[in-house]
Amino acid sequence: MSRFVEWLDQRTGIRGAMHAALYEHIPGGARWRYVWGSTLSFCFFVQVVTGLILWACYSPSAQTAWESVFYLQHHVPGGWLLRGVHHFTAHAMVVLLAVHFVQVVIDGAYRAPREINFWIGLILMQIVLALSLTGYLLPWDQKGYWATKVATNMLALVPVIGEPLQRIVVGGSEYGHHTLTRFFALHAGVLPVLLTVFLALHVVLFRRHGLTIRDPNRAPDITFWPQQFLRDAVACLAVMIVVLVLVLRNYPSAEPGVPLGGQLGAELGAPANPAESYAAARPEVYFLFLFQLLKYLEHFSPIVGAVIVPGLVMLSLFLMPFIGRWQLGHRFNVVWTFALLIGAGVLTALAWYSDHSGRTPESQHYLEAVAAAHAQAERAVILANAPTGIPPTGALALLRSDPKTQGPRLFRQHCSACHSHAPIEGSSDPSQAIVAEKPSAPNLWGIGTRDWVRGILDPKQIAGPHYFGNTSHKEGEMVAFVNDTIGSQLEELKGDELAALKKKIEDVTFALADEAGLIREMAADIPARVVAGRVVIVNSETGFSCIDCHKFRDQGELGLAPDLTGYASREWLMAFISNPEHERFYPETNDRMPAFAANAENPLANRLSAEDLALLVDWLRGEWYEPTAPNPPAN
Amino acid sequence: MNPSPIDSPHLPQEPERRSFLTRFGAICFGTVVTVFPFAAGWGVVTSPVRRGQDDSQSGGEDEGFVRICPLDAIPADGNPHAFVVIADVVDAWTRAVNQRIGEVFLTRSEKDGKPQVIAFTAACPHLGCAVEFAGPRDRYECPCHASAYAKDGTKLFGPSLRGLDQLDVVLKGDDGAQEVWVRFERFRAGIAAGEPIA
Repeated sequence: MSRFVEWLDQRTGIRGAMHAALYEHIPGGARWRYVWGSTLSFCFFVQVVTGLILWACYSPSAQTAWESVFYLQHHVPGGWLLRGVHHFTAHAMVVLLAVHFVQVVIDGAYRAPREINFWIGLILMQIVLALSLTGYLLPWDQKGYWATKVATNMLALVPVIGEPLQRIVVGGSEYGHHTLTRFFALHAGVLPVLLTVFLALHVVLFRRHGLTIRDPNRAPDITFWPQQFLRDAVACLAVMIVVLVLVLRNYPSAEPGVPLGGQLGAELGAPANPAESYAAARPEVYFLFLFQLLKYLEHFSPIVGAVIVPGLVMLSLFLMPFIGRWQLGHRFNVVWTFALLIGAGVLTALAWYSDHSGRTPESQHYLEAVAAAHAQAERAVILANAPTGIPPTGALALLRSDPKTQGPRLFRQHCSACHSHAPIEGSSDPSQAIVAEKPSAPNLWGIGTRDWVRGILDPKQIAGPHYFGNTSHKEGEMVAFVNDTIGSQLEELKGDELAALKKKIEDVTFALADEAGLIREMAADIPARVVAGRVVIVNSETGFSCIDCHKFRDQGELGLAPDLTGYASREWLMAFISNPEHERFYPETNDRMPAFAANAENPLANRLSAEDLALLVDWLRGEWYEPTAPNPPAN
Repeated sequence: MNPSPIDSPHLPQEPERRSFLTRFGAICFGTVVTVFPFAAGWGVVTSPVRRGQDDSQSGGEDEGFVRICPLDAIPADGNPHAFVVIADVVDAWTRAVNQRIGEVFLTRSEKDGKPQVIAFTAACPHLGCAVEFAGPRDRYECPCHASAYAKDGTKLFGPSLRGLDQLDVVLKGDDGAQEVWVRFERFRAGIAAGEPIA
């Protein structure tokens, strides 16, 4: 071994290099306050290693960025760990930057002859912040997409060069493939190389000047190895543990059987959607102070908060070596540093509080948007994990063709001025229940189900607010039939006759709900009841003779009342919404309901496209993909 | 000669026991934090070794068989004819339907009045180029390294270590309208045994 070292040393001088690296002279003994630079170098090392491995898993394009990150997070073993470590080490790096900076200012390490190294440190700070900003966009989720848009719009505010610079960074005027390829090139290529170069200069100059020692007689002199090295290693270990705790913080409440990727590590929002603004968009937490500052400077041009104020602050930092020459300059620098940090801290806290207090309408709006964003992110993962998988057009297409996602949006847009869609009793998924402010039409919750039909045939309900109560049909013949014929019989009949009537109503309920063909209402004992119910519907002697007004299958006529054939089926609902005044529905007695897609020859003239109509109807019928197990296990 | 990197002679030494603990701790902790990012990525880097093929083309109700064509689409001339294999493909996160995933050669013949089909994958068992059937010379030829195979798949000459890889075939459907289904597999190239890639 020693012969090999000898051989190598003669050719490389490795012993001298090792000696120079490890036996730096430290007057006054090892101290914890010297560890911060090392922890930052450690973070950068972690980011390079994990970043290169992430690179091997990432595909920068608008149709594959979210998808590849989703796959890494949810399907590649240990992917969530890798991603989580990279994400939270980035956070740790920003915090350590601040600590390192404060340490340098307090110790006056910016003074001659260390001015240039101080400036290099400030440049390194800018590079790290730029790395953080560019990395935020790469998963191409709603959060990163909308937050980064704000950042690049701020870039455009810079006088003269701003706009071309924005175009160069974004790769055009709109976000797309080239935004990702350019941000990726910046994040994984340009910025790390710059960081490496400046870090090397920083270290070389640091070794040239040595540590800034305040009290050389504090303790006997030592060398870097092993005493200071041990302190540095322990500090790095502490950073590592903090990062791991952040990655694993949800582990105690993790559900067994559910893949850890969905529960641990860095968050992944829903895929970026340019057509759906994102009210929960916020920058990373360490940029929140700037975000809050922009809110306070509302009376000024946005250039003040976005460019001028941060520019002046940076200038004041660059000038510190000069200010420090004056008698009180050093104290001023220290006070100014703490003032800036406290100011940023207060602004961050204010931003956090105004979002999370829940006391203002804005805060409630924000919290709702966050909840909706989480729900949509979860839904995106469920759909991506479905057997149909992610199509080559990307995961956004899954959400766009998902009734559960699109239904509430379409219903709010087109229907909820008159209709509610909310359970009469009990609670439900809040994203699916929509209450109209002034309901003037039936509550469409569970349309076509047996409960829905039971309500129509119930004298207590049919003229109530959830059915015809707010419409002109309140005075119509159906309400009269249910109240007069069924209602009076229910009151008069007793014993077996009453039981027989109730059975007839129940049979009709089964027969009509069967026309809807809802998958979740299928059961084994139904056919006999359906057959019995169909007899009640058509029979005028022993039944209700519904066909006096309605058409049902091959009996009765169209024109007086809606066709009961295929009642509330997918086709029936689509036809009804398309044109309620069609002869199948209410040719004479339609009450205010508009035709949403009556123009078959010119679909562009319709209020609802065929796709949206189908999504709306599938949503009303509650037919969308849900996994049978919570989530398929990761391979 | 340079001083040994283990001693630093010109400075006061710590007591030996404490000095040993300091060095030991420095080496241990230093190693842990150095290994840490590699450990965090180890699972991801090595995941392709530990997982088999995705559940895309194999398994399922058809047990890996893919419909190729109607039986009548193969000319009954006893010669191999190339057919494209179309199946759904899962490539990491993307599921694409009806993709061209490969090529097979089908040869139709009759035995005891019943139709028979032999299938070979077009991937050359030497190093995976696509072989062609050269009609005039009545043999399969690989355009890359000049391996040649007889109609029954046996190797005639060239660098390949084995003959063409045969695929399982079933005929589904009624006598009048039978369909050819093939279990489409890939085999390891460059070895003497035909070994499917799981």
